[in-house]
Amino acid sequence: MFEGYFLYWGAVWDVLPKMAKGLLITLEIGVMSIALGLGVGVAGALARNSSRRAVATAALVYVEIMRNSPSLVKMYFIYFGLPSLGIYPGPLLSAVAALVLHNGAYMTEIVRGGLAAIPRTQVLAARSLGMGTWTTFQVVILPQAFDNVLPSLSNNWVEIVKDTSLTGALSVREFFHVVEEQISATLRSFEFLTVAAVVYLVLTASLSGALRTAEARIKYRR
Amino acid sequence: MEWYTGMVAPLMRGLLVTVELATLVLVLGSIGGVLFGVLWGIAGPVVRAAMTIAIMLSRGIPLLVQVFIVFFVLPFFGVEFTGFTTAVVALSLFAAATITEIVRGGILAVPHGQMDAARSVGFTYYQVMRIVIFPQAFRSILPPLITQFVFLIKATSIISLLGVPEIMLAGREVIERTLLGFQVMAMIWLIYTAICYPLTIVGRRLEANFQRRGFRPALGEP
Amino acid sequence: MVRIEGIGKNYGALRVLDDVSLNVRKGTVCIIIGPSGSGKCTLLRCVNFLEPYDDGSIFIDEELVGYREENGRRRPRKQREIARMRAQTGMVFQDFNLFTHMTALENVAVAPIKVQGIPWAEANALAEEGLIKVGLKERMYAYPAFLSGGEQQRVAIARALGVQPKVLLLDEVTSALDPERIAEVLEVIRALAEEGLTMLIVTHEIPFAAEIADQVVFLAGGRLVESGGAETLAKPSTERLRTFLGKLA
Ligand SMILES: Nc1ncnc2c1ncn2[C@@H]1O[C@H](COP(=O)(O)OP(=O)(O)O)[C@@H](O)[C@H]1O
Ligand SMILES: [Mg+2]
Repeated sequence: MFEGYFLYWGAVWDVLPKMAKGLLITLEIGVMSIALGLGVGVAGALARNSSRRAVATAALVYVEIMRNSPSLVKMYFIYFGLPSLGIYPGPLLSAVAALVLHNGAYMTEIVRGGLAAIPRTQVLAARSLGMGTWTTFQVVILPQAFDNVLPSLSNNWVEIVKDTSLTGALSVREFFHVVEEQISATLRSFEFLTVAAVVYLVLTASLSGALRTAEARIKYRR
Repeated sequence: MEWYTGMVAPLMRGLLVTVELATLVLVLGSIGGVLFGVLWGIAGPVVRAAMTIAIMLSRGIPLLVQVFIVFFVLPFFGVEFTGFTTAVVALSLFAAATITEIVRGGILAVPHGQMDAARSVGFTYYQVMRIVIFPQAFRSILPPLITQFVFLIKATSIISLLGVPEIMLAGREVIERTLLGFQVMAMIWLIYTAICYPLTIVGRRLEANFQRRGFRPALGEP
Repeated sequence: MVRIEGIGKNYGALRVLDDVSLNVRKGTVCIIIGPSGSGKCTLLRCVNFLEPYDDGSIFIDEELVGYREENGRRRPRKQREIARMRAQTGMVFQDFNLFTHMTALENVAVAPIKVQGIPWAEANALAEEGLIKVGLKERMYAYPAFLSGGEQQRVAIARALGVQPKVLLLDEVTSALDPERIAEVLEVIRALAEEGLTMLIVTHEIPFAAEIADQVVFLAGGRLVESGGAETLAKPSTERLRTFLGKLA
């Protein structure tokens, strides 16, 4: 075991700036995908609940098409597929677009579930106090829906952060792409993969930790 | 004819690899997950803590990084794998970890009163588990298990990044040759949907069916 | 039939039962009352050995529950033996705890089949009989989720009786029921009392208790404060029981 292999962490130390740059791009993709995906999710949930049949059906079709195939398929579709139609999205745009489309579908269902979990009586109570539709939505529905969806959202956002590691396939220079490059260049696979594992663990743990704190705050507020 | 030999045939060969890989992963992962899940049910605190840490790692580190770890790190221990075997091992380990979590959740979701009632009519511990707890846990496990199956089938796509010639890699090769990116990726997208959507429907039916009979679903993947 | 001698039970530092003694003769009904948290539930669970007790002894037909004495030392009984002894004491819970994945009939038949090895057909016939007795002829093939609370509780009683226990333990069996549903369950219990089934009943239904009790015990803070015949409920001799009854009325 480990014959002739000596750990050399200096290999990682030497390329720290490159790694940091990669991490920054990873964070960029992650944050953008989460923010835009949430927008898609809220819009999608409202569309799913729309009284217009066509709108509701379109939203449902969108959700099923996205959820039943890998995010990587959408990345390839946009990056390798659209050019044959004369559209040339760059790597970063393709990556974010694919992650937003894919996870927007999950968030649609999460937000819809959060809305559905609000008891009908809450709306009736608000109405009985003389609140209008918008006030009811703002004061009663939205805060409660937010409470309901946080745990599931947290899971989905962790998936997004992990999925950024796939965007290297589109030659996005994100963190794991840099790691792969360095492994080929230095053959220091053990060192680089250990660092990568730890970095991702810290990222995902702090993300879900932050959301859990937020959740605890909300519970306390109740 | 050229359309067939140039595009459809290679994709089908890739699909065969995907199906083979997915089948192995689902079978091995389910066996491992159920064994570990049941073990969790009867294990002491040390084993439980170890299993919790393993589950945490499998959830917090991107699957692609886990695959690379298996590919690059196991050779240090004298085990050398082909790309395909690496894929099977890494994905099955991941599958086992996540399914363990689902099984554990299912066992915990059985209300404590069921245990009391079963013991009070004279069942031994083994009978309590076999006749009352596991059947109820199984029912609540099934829907999230199927969701997880869909997740795992989709996850096999990342193995293309390891050079295993499954459908995604086959697709990229065809695109390089034919430049028909849109058609190829649309077809792959369709194929994944054709595999995953029926499973999703089955899972949803089961869940609705169980809920109607008053079983509660365990928590699983969102 | 059930002899409890000075039992004590701790949950960590909390002493939940302290030196409780009680003798329930065959064919009699013993009513246990007391404020919430006084240990009534725990006492029944000890008789069924769902909880091990720390001091004293519980005998059912002169057989020590849960332990065996071996040259003066007390050791836990084997799993199998504990299971066999549990079947001698049927227990009915406040929140029914029917097996959710089985029909009413299966709920009643499963223990006779699996615990006592009664053939399937015979056990089913007996279970049907039991369900008819509690007035559920029409609901035998329903899953618990489709039964009302009162119906579920009657199935639970039939299930507990299915293994033909020597004693039936009922723990606040009407507390989770709507007022209209309480009567139907009490009716079943009254019939069982008339048949001469030995029962230990925890309840807050004082008029009902007065009607069927042969013996009444009052627990408070894990100790037996007062015990006596049915007349105890009408003429309590301790101040504590008087206040307790006053609050309930
Ligand atoms: N599993 C347990 N662990 C710790 N304390 C318990 C447990 N079960 C019951 N207790 C405590 O034991 C006391 C008696 O409980 P219980 O027998 O349920 O009372 P009752 O049925 O008279 O309301 C209570 O103070 C309760 O909090
Ligand atoms: Mg109680």
